[in-house]
Amino acid sequence: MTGGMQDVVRQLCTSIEQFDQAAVIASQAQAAADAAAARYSDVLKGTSDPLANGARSEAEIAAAKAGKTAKLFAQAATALTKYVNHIAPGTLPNRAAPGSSPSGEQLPEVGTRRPPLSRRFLGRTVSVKNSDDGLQHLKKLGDAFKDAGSGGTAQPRPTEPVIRSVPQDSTAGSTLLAALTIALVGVKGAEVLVKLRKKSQPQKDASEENRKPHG
Amino acid sequence: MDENTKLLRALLMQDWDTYNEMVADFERQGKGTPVAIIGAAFHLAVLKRFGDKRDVGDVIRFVAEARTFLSEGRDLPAKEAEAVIFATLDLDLPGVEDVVDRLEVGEIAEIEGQLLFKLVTDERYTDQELDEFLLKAQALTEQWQGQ
Repeated sequence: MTGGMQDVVRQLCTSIEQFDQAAVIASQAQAAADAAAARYSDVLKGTSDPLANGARSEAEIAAAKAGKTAKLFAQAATALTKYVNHIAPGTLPNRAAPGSSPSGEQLPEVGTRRPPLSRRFLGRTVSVKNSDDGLQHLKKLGDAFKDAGSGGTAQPRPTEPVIRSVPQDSTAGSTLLAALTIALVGVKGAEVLVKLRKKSQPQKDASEENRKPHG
Repeated sequence: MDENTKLLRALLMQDWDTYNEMVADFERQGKGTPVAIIGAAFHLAVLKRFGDKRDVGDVIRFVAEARTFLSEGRDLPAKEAEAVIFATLDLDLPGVEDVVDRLEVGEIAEIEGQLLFKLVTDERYTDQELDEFLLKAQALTEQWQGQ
């Protein structure tokens, strides 16, 4: 999905939220109007006053129309959701049958119905095949992987047997020891051992210095 | 397997000959970092590794290990790395959404790519298993791109 399309989808999702909000408000208006008409009827039971009866009728008509409006808003939201999922599959959860009105209880909070964070986050990266960066980011990954600790995934790629940190002692014994160490623990293990040796070396040098005769 | 997926494969397998050839080819074509396949593969790998438990501590420990594994002076920002995993797992902890929203898509790909490398390495896939995994990721990108 291009950046422009992402923007379209985002705006459509906002419209759907607004239709849902309107549907809830219309449903609540219907409920309030129904309650008002019922109370009105109770209070004016038995009256034949045309004005009173006319007012009650108006309240009942308003409630019915609010209910119809709520259904229409819900239908619009459902139709838009289908369209969004058509152009960007899986963006939104599928809805109940058209015409079903979400009540205030069904919507956790008006205005907060959004796709989950994981979906919004995934959508940002997988909607565009390649970024427009001249492979800058990929090359950084390549550099990072070349220095990584492991040799690879399926089959370890052979690393060059260059021992960078083995001390270049001139004695044959040290050379043989280095070769044996590599054979036993591998290149990485040999480097670790050298580092450990170096750490203990200053202490050894210091103690040897103390034993030397002074004066 | 399309070219973007093949390039990611070469990178994950540290097949530097193939990687170098493909990078040169991509440059000739003017194609950039294959962010979609990286994002999709990362998404699937995170769900596989952490999807069952969704434990914050596990994520933090993993990122710390990944930084050690990769870092010979490389920068993998810990907060951002944790945030992209949390976002993928719907662990909407305070600040996570703000952190990921501030990242550009290229930066996300860089972070995800490094974490993906560690995730895939830990799985110890055979060649065939890696191919199957990458093809699933490719299919996920195709769903999103409406192909």
